[in-house]
Amino acid sequence: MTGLSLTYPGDRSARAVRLSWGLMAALVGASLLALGLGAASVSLPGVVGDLLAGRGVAPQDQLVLMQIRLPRLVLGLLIGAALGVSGALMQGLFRNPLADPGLVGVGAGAGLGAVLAIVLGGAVAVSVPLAAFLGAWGAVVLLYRVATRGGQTSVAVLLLAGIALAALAGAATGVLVYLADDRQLRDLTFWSMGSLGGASWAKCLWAGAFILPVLVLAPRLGAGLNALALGEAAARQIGHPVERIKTLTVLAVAAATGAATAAAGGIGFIGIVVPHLLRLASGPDHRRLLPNAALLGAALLVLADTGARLIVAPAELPIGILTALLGAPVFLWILLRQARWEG
Amino acid sequence: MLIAENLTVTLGRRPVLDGVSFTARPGEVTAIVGPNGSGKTTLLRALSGDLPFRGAASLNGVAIARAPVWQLAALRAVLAQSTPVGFAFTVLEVVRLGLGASAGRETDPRAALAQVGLAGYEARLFPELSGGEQARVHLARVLVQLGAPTGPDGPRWLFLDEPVAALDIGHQLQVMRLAAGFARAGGGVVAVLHDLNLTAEFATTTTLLAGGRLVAQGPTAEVLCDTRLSAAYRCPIRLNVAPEAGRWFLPQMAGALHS
Repeated sequence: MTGLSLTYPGDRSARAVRLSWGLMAALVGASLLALGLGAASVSLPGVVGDLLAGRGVAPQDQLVLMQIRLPRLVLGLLIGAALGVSGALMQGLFRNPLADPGLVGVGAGAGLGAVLAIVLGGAVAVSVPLAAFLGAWGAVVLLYRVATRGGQTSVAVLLLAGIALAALAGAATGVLVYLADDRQLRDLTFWSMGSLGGASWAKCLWAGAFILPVLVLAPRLGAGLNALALGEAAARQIGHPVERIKTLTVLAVAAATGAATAAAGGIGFIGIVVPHLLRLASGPDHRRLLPNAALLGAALLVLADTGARLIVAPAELPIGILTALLGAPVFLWILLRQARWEG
Repeated sequence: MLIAENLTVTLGRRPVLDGVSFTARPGEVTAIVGPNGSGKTTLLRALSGDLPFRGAASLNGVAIARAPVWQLAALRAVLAQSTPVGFAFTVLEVVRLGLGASAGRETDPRAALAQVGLAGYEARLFPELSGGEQARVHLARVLVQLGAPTGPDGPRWLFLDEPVAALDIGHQLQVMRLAAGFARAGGGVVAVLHDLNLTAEFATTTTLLAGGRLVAQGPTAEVLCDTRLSAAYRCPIRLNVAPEAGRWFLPQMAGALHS
């Protein structure tokens, strides 16, 4: 609230912009860590020195960096940004800080789509993210129908519907797993652990095709989502095209969650922790919250993945386990705060 | 001008508004009164463009049912009975939401806050305010949306649904004077009111509804008469006239002042 002399009391936009710069710096730092640390020892300064001196990089370093760590970093950045942004979008749509795609069954819907594609759809690579997108889309639309009446969302109904949806998707997934053959089972097991371990440039490409448009579009929905915080009727009275905002938000959440789930399985809690921390730091204005959620989500996921690779190296921990270990307590803390606020 | 003819709104199968015609002129406060469930809020919501209706309604010549949201937003602002806010915005951020999709109107949100008696509240978090303070923040937001009582496209309209329900008597007067000032400056004000005293004091024209039908519309002094009010509210109501000068109140406490 202090700082620039042009800011008025109650205007937190300058603070949010400063936060963006800090997050960008953190993102660069996290990326360098992810490239430099791992089971094989690669000296980043050495590599940069080699490049600058025109000496050419050692073949082993080149392999580790270009074929293993860099695609994994890029995929981590994409998926972290997707999880952060889809959390913030979903919470804006439902006007509630607890609406996380992972918690209310959208991730489960995406997972069901992905499993369907793996077991029934043959081996077409693109069919998995597309099916995950459709599964996520169906889940968001269903949730909105069930939990939102006259523009106001009942959190209890939302969370309960999410539990039901997750159970249903889980059961259907179980049936499909039962039907799967050995090769498909291997795909499924690997995928369901939630890991960036399968990163490849091809994966980066199709995940990027779903996620990058969402990252570009999301901030444009910011003003509309701000107005939607007043309810649908008030947002319309102010002059916002509410139906279009809702439709685009649902599609964006589905694309980001679907691609993230298809590429790396279920990685929980990024979508709820990231926007919550940002709202505490610089307020709920979605025009700034959405880009910042992409930055913080990307930085956090890359850091968590680096941790997952190092803690039990040369083996690695599934990243979904790590984010749940860190995120679940934060989620409980949010619930406690919320309960105090409403009580 | 706000002109509505033969408005009928059906919720489920029951008509909650049954063939009501309504007019309001800029430069005046027009009150909508009537007992609970008489269709006051439904009428205001239909005029706001929030509810589908049968009949015809136009605002400054613009057909309300067909106008795009941005066009209506430039002509009228709506203050609902209560508007919960989903996140912990500051007061300034909530008021700025009134600038809306078509930002560009030069209204200072801080001036609007001062108008509703909330100067210095800019940095407070909205959910931490009292109900009455929240109601006035929304009033400031609505004023920011309109910018000025009139514009190149004619008078602008304030639609207020029980604007004083959450307020103490001092703030009730403050808000009603603000509405009256908006009307005096050339804007139009349509307000659903429960308080017949405030209606008599501030409304030039009054529409009385009962059971979803129009009972009477006209100059307030003519509409608010003993027989009509008693029939509409189903209890005996006696109209009295106040002494000439000063504020006063009329105690009606059980037994306390009986001789």
